[in-house]
Amino acid sequence: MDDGILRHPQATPEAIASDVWDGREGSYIPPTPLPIDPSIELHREAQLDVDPITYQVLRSRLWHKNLEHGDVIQRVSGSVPVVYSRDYATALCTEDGDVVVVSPTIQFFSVLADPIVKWTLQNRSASPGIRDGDVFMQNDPYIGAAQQSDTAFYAPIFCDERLFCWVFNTLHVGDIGGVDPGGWAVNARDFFDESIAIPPVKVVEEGTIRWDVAEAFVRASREPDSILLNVKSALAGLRAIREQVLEMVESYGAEVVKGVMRRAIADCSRLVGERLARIPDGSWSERLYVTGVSPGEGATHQEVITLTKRGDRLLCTNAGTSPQGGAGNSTYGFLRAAVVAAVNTALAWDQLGCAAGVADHITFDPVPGTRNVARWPAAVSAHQSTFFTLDLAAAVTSKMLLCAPEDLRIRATAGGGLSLPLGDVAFGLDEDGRLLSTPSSAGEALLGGAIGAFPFRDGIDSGGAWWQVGSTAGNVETSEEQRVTLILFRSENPDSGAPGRWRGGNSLVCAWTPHKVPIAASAMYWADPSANPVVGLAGGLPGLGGNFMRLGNGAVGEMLQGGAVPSSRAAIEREAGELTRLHPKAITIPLPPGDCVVIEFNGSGGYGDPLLREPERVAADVRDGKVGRDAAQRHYGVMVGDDGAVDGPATERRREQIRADRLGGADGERSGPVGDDAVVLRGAGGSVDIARVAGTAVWACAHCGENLGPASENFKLRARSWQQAPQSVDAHMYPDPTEFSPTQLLLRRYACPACATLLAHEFCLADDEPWHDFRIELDASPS
Amino acid sequence: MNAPGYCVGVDIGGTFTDCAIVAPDGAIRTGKVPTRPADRAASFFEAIADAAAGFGLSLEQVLEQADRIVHGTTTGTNALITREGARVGLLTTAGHGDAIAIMKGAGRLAGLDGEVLLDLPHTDKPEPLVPRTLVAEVTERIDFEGDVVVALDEASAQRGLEQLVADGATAVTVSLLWSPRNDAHEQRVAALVRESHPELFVTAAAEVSAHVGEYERTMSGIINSYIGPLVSAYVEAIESGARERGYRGRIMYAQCAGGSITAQEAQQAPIRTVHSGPVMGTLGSVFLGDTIGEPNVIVTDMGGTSFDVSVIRSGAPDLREASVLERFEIALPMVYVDSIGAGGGSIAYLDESGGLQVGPKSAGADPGPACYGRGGTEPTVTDADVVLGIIDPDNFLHGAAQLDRDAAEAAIRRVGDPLGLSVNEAAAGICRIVDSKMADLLRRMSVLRGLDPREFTCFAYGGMGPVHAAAVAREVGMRRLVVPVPHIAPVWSAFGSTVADVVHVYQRPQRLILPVEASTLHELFGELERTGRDVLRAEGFAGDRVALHRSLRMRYAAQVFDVEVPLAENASLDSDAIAAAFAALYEVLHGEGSGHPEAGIAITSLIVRARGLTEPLRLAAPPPATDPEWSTRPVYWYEQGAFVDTPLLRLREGGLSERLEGPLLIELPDTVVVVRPGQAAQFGELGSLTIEL
Repeated sequence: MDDGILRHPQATPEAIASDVWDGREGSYIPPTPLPIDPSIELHREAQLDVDPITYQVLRSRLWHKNLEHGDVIQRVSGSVPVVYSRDYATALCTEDGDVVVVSPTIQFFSVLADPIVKWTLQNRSASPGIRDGDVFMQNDPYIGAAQQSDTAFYAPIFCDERLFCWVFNTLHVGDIGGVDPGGWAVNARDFFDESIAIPPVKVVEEGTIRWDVAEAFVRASREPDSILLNVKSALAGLRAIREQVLEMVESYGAEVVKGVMRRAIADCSRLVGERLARIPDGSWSERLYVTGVSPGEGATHQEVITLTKRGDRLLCTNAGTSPQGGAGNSTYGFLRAAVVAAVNTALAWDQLGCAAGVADHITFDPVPGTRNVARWPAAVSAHQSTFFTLDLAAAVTSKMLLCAPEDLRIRATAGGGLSLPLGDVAFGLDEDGRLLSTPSSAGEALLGGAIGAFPFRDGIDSGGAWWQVGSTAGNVETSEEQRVTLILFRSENPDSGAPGRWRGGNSLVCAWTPHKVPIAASAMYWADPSANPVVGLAGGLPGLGGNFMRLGNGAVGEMLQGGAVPSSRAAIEREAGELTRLHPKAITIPLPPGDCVVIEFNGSGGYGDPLLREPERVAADVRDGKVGRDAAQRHYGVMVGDDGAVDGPATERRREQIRADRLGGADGERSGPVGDDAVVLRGAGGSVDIARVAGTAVWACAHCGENLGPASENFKLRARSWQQAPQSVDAHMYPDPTEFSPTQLLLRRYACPACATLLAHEFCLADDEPWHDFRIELDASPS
Repeated sequence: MNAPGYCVGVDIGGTFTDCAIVAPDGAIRTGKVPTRPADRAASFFEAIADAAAGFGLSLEQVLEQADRIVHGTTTGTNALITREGARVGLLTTAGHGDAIAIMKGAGRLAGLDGEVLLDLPHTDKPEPLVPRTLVAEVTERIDFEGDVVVALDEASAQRGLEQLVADGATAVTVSLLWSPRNDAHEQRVAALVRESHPELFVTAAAEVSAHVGEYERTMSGIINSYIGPLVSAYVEAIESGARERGYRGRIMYAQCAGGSITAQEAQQAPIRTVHSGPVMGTLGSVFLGDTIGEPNVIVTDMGGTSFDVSVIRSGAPDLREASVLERFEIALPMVYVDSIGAGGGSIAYLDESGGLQVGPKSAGADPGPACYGRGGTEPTVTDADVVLGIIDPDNFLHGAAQLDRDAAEAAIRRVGDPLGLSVNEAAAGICRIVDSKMADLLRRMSVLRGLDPREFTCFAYGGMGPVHAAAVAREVGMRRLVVPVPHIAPVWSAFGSTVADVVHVYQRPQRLILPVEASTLHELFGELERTGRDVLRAEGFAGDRVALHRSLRMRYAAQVFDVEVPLAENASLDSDAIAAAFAALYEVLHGEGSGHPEAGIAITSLIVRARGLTEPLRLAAPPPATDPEWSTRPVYWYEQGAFVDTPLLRLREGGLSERLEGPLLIELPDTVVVVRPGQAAQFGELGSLTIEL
């Protein structure tokens, strides 16, 4: 029915039956129907046939109101994470919690609004009750939070004593306790070592702030002033938006406004359904490896997401993911939020953030007790699986888009953004022993981000992240004003975006040394050479995963005193000494004056074989300092002369040599080309088409047409493949993972056995089967 | 001073150049000529000649008798939009040459509308103004307290400069880290450039922007250099052209901080002329508000493509420091004018889910709305106004243009038919949607900033302003709408420049945590004020024609946003008083209880606005209307959902004395004032038309 009411259960009956999903023992999945205490009456009347003009006026106004809600939060909070990282989100929900509009900020925060509101309706409607003027807060990841610091504030709005809708925001409030300062408890053994987690509780009761509750929350923090400021900003935002929604209801009538909300959901859902229906049915999967999830521990975990599409519906599972353990697990609520956010960006970018219309199409089949669908009391604050879940969600969605019609296909994108969580957090103590903290090193340089390559264009250098919309890396001066660091350099890092037919966007590299601070330290999180979430697409390479380095002995201080500015990694290595790599979970490293740390943030993935990139584009990148000469030769096979021009004949020779090397002299089994007119789905597997040969769907190399076997099988089985220690492919992009881990992670490469065009890359263990990531179900009969 | 002469205001826009001349007796004549993109200076004089003709004078005659010319120019903005500026090289601190490429990591989305932010594959950074090859790094480093960490290596600056010159730079910006706290290195490098390459246009970034935050400051400096040579040459052409034609006075240039600057300053800091057109409109509104007793005004300007809004409180326009210019973030004091893409040319279309959308895409002047008959087929707001009977197709622009009503109808049907709407319903719908969008911006500029729109009067000008403002202002609950002096409303910005004072803004970034000794602040303010007084004296302002306004930028210590707190004349500089003024303003802007004094209060900079007061204009009351023509026309009012035979008043000049009940259309030479059903209009002082909503 086109009434904007979501009727599909969130999860499969089998999954629901397999565990307790109550938000306490396990993650929360709202039951259908949702049990709500009868003392609360919901306002359900919706005038769905509101005229098209009023509909458009009010829909646009809901979007603007929700933006203004965020404006108020930003201005009142004014805290660095809120202003620069846009580490907040706002949403407007129907009376029963479905998300009508989310802000263009952190995408997964607002998608978590619906389980939070539904849990509150289910568990708080009888006692203490839900009343006009109340504001609830909650930050329990098992109900719906990415980590405990991401705290939700939300208020019911009543019309005629009936619950009409909810206004909602989530802010990254800052440190609220736990074993590690900052809120990312890398050292947590379980939930009990982490920041305070509060299930839904009233922080405002019928218009009056409950200071008992607010103070209990703030008391857990190492930085109570700034937490309190953020709480105030969240409440100010809710106050502003509440008045404005009531004003709309006053002018247009409750049923009309509700009708617009429901129709927005129905319209978005219909459009997403139509777009999904244009994509062939199939199943797409991605796997990431990570070795060691807690300090000093080296077990290898894998995280997996598989997305299956039938008609206009998606089924998502995390089956194949390793059991939970150590720090940095994540919950079901987050898995769902990440997948809805990724599909929202892919298929509902023009629907003003109507998340419910997207969620309406996705069913989950979660496997509990795993790294990305953890059960209580697994530790969940350290933001590791959360980021991988975002990476995986984007990767499977992008793979699905590759077989879509062109207007949707161009929305596929290689990995990037903030794929590996965090960088380092610099902090220091002043003369009085008070904590001074900066946002993170070099002015939130992590948030510079990088957008991966698309099927039709390059990625975007320091272009942010798909899910953290509008975030900024701020200014170096703003960061230095916090008086801990002198930022030696902050630059775009050449060759951090991976090679491909279309190049991945480069990310940032920066370095700092303590300045005018008696004691300084750097806290490191998770830039992990044994994990590589920066996936390439269609034979494009994976990007730089991140790297932390340090130089001691006061060498950089001496350089400065000698009148030199260490203005790049190369300059430091040339003039001050060799950098030492830092363990990704080294936690807190005291940094004496004159020492420095150098941080390379994760880059982004490429699209397609770099040998297919026009040599002139490569030369332009070399001239612009985006690609080094060595990488140009090594990956692109392009020889650039001292004058910056392409040496044509040398390039041709070099490319021939690379192709020959890929085939390794092997004269493998060939099936011959399928012929251009046999192709039915171009680029369905990125680098491979689907063709129809003798009534059967087969894979075919998109470059030369080589038949790569039945489409029901994995095309990688017919490809020429080899695996290498990643650092042997590129020591800068893939630092040696075995330096900190006993597991040898390998980079496996697949090429067409006929034309040697790269088809795919995957990180794997030596004995892994080729990862079967594209399963497209085409009708076998000729069309 | 001699007997007062004519006062001339000229505003060059992308399409038209407008002029307003105020005669010594207060009479006003206006001129409007097409802008010649290749020779804007010629347009400047043509516009003056056009207005002078209204007094029966020639261009030379009016120039000889003029004692003040104030000019608002888009030459700089236009060079930026068309990317026809100088080849700029940047000299910056070693290790930070990429700051302008990184754009704080936010460049992909900066300046884009919220609705398109999720359209990932179609977002990108703008083409850089300074390519990587034109950035050279200088060995030097200063820290956040202004202390030198690494001394300036002049040889590295010289080498960098030569490299830029070899690469073809025609202008150079020097922008070093922390120059607002200590500009010794920056100034020295700029001097080096001037010494060794006097042919180059040079900007030291901290001279145009005292902002702490290297990206915005550097971009301000780069844009200054980018438009510098062009604006400089343009100003030169205006100055010499005026002298040749017998003008003996000084030409002043409108600036975005609200006020005017000298030719010399416009040539050194041309970025200050950017967006000065809309700002002059706001200043004209300040003047009018002062004259007719309206100190609190929301100013709206609706033209063909955009709708601009600014706010005047207690007779002063609201200001801001940070803004986005052609997708680059800059920081310099500007009158706060916000805008959205909503105008007569805004295109209506159906989105993929079948919803009716209006704007921000515009049909522009070419092909323009479908009713222009220049090949446009997409329906626009103007087409809707024609269909609804608000704009008379036979009497558009004094009857100079004939509009095609059938083409307008056909275009509107393209969006109406699929929705099952009649052509009238669809046209009314387009107007409601665009009116609602404009109302959203009005709310954002008022309610969201703690201001109650019901306490403000709306001013509406621009070709389409009087057509739509009655509906827009009513939607946000405003009670009064003023169409300022209708017959000069179409050249309102040009008029506004005639009343602009000379304004210099002196800002000193200084990080102080309260409490601070009052004497310290007195001393710091005193230095800025001395500079202001000296400069204005040199510009010919006697002591009694100089006004100095102090303000502080302040914030709660745990925050990154600061608020400008104006200090009244002779206000106490006692820390308690300052803290109270800050806290009160903060609560107005952000809501009661939102402040957080526990974290401490910081001053981030001191500002002095030094104002050289121009001789006040006395405008003559317009003569009563000559031959007003009354008739009727069927107009479709969306409030009533039907065509109603509506009274129509056609005026060439002046007003009527009686109260005029809506619904009513008042046709003026360049616009139509719409008085909606239930509203009433009255001509008042200076011929302004006030509508009770």
